[in-house]
Amino acid sequence: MSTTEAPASTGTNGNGASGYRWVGTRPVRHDGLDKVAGKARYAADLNLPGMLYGHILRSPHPHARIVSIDTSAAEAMPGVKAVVTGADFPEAPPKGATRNLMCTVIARDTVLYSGHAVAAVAASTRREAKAAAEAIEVTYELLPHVLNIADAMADDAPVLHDNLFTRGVEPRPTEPSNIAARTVYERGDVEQGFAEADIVIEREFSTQAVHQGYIEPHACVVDCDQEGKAVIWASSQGHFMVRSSTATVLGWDTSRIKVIPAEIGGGFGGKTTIYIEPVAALLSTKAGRPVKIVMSREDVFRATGPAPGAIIKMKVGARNDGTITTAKAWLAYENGAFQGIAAMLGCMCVVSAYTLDHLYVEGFDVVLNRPVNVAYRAPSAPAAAFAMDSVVDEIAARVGMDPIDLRIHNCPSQGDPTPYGPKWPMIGLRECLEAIRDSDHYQSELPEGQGRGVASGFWFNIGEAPSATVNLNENGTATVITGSPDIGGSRASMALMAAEELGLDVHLIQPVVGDTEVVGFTDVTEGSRATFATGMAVVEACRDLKEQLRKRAAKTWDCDVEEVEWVDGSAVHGPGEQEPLTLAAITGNAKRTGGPLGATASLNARGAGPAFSVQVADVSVDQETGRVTVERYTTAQDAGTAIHPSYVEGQMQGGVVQGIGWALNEEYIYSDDGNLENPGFLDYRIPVASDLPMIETCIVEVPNPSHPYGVRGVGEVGIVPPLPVMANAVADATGVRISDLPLSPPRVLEALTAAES
Amino acid sequence: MSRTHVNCEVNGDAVDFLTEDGESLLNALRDELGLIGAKEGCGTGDCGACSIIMNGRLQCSCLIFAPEADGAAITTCEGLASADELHPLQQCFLEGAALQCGICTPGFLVAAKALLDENPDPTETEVRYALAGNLCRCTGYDKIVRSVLEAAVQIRTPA
Amino acid sequence: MAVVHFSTDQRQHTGGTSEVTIDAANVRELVRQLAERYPSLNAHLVETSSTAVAIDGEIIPDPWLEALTPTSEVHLVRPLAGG
Ligand code: FES
Ligand code: FES
Repeated sequence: MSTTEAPASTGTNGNGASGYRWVGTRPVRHDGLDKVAGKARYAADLNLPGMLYGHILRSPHPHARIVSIDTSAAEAMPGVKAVVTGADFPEAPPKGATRNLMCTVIARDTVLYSGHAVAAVAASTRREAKAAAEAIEVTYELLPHVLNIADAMADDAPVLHDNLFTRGVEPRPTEPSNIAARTVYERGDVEQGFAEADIVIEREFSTQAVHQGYIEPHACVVDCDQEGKAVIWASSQGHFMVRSSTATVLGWDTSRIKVIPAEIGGGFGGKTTIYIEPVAALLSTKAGRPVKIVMSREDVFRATGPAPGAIIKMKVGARNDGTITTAKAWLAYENGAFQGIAAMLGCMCVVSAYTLDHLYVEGFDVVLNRPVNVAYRAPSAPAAAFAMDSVVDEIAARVGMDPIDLRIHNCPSQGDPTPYGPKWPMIGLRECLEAIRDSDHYQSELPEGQGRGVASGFWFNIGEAPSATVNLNENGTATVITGSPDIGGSRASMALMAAEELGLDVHLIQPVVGDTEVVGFTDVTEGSRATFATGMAVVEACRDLKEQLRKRAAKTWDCDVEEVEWVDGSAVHGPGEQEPLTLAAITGNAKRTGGPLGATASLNARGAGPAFSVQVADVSVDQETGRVTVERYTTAQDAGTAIHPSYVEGQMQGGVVQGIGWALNEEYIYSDDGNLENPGFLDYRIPVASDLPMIETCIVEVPNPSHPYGVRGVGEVGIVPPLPVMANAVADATGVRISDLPLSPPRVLEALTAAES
Repeated sequence: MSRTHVNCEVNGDAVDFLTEDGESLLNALRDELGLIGAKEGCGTGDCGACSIIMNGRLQCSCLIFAPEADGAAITTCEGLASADELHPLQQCFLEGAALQCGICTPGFLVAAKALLDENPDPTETEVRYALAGNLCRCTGYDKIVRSVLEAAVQIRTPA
Repeated sequence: MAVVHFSTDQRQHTGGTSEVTIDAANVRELVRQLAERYPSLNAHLVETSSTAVAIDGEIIPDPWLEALTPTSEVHLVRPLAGG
């Protein structure tokens, strides 16, 4: 294993953390070798003796009452060992998050989307399980369905839940509807703001639902024993979440369940919830054998995710000097079959990259007959930014100002109020704007025939609860055990922070993800929090260890602990009467000085720093086909301190490309009868290598004062700007502004043709 | 249920296994031979996670029936490294941080090997088109493409 | 002591009041006093799971024992979800 130089990546920095020995370097990740050798074990890679295969039967209808389920034919089929339906699961409460989770895992009396799980079979082979599941006879009574926001909000819309009354409207409605909640944020007086404006721009935008598109389908193996204990191997963003959610759905005590985290093949938010583990657990209990369930790609599209589509109306006022005086926004977000908080998040994000004295933001969370939303990288922020930053681009053009200068002119900084109330802590938006303004890319001349677009994006980042245990081994190496699944290289970051604290070579540190019985509770890897929050726990445990090491050195030297300092991985005697003791010397002698050394830290992480990204792209548009080609792309993101710059760049680049996919191609297409028409990678087209240029990165390091190494969290915000960046670049290239995503060839062509005539 | 006896060569070893007629080669490699490097991302030939080289050609093993492998020579991701050394592609992927979650990595390595076997000095565009059948949702492809180009240099000019 | 700022939605439960000064040493005490003063606000906070508190701009999930100073600016918010 070697520490490598930065790869030849243009615009790369990420070395602002000078003064650190390990933080900011790029060692080969500890789990890398298994992954390039094909040995890493993901959940679908596990086979146990006697293991059965589970298959889930899903509803072909978007909305229907389940009249009856007859499993007798299925039970009689060859190889079948167990069959379960909703009736085998505990009753769900009438409403609330618990009901939503329970009824997503398996439908009770009503199916609410095509793809909703209805029953499941465990059998000796995959094919026997599938054949038997298809032999289950379900009688449905079809109900009218709604698939889009406008239909779902209509007065006479068929209602999904007869106990859902819009929250946030006074007096509270007495009739149920599909509008789950209304959220409002306001400040100042928007009418005054418009009166102060020289120009007012009013536009309506729409975005489509998309999927996180992780390449690994959901998978688990569950082994339940005769005492009622279950061991679950699962691919998830949080094995403690798998444990608690599975327990909730089954009505079990959590102590019956142990979850062992498998390697995870991508999540992006989509694996912050569960779908299959409780089903496999019940099948395993019934059959007395381990059960594996692996979703097909089609099931992944039909029954998991998505990130919601949205409709957003913006009215923004500005003065001729580029000052944005006010914004009024109306947002409606799809929630899927059960209530979520998508619109609320959209409301919090929509104007966050701007300082406004007057604003009025109103949002509606809308349920409809589609699978329930799950988080996708900076949830709700991309659509919101698409709307606001498209309008801002028009304002810049109208007042004749450079779009970056205009954004700098309206940029919030520490102490300014956020649109949702609290004041901004230290943020790096201005630095990101300046980084893009000064980049080679933005300073370069735009090639003939191309268009250039810029935009910014905001996301919160989240702290929450992490745990870490650091054990020092007798040979002077360390094992760092955390409860955060590693979805993008976080183990390497944990090792780097531990190396920095202990003064130990990073290659002597083995970072591992512990199962639910070996490490303390840790929240889901979401909200860009693993390196931030779990890193804090690692640092705290290491600091505890350093105290212990000093005490052991003092005992060895028979001196006062105050005389011992920890310097570069060794105990140093202040008065200088003793030779320094290395960490290995202390651990090798540990039994004599009090036993092995280890430390554990668990905390509620505070001070996750808000993240901003600013991006620029050059595109060309084929006038004949409407195809948009990304010619050049640069992203700047405020990462706080970059612990492992390669993986920070990787997060930035991955987020950008997902955003490009959302902007240019990806969308759920439903037929009128409520079935997803493109549930596969052939028709749901995510970007491939030949669609893209290199993604140039510029890591802006404005350290987060709340973190010992200034980490801010880098996982999410990168996906936010590409939507408006693409729209702005296409507008620049063609003179035609398109406000409905995706900017797929047919839509672009249609807009070009309409503009000509 | 009738099972077919299949003989073939995988990563240089003569192997044999029994398989159901409708089973995919991907499942046979994973379940019968324990070679879990090839992954199923889609099962329909659209993601490349199951890539193998069979009789010198890059293939999606999810689209091949297991009995079709009878008599074939197959290379999977597990066959790239020698006992004491990684393949330059594997080494460059590690050093270039070309993997995040890693689920697509075996497929990319196999596809990249197939490319470099044919074309030892590809341009960036050639790499991008050769790998267009492999999906990666984590990296945005940047570091994958750079790592393949770097590996090509190393293979052409051994140290 | 702390100044609590209410969001537009919350104001429906405070009789329109947008901010109030509460003499509390920590968040648990503050929430208790708010519940006494505005009974329907408490139900609203429960229904919206608004268990997080922003103190001087920093959003903290579930902070019962967080100390408050006379100048603390407090917002009651919902814990966020992420990807
Ligand atoms: S699994 Fe074979 S191409 Fe996707
Ligand atoms: S590294 Fe995750 S899909 Fe490629």
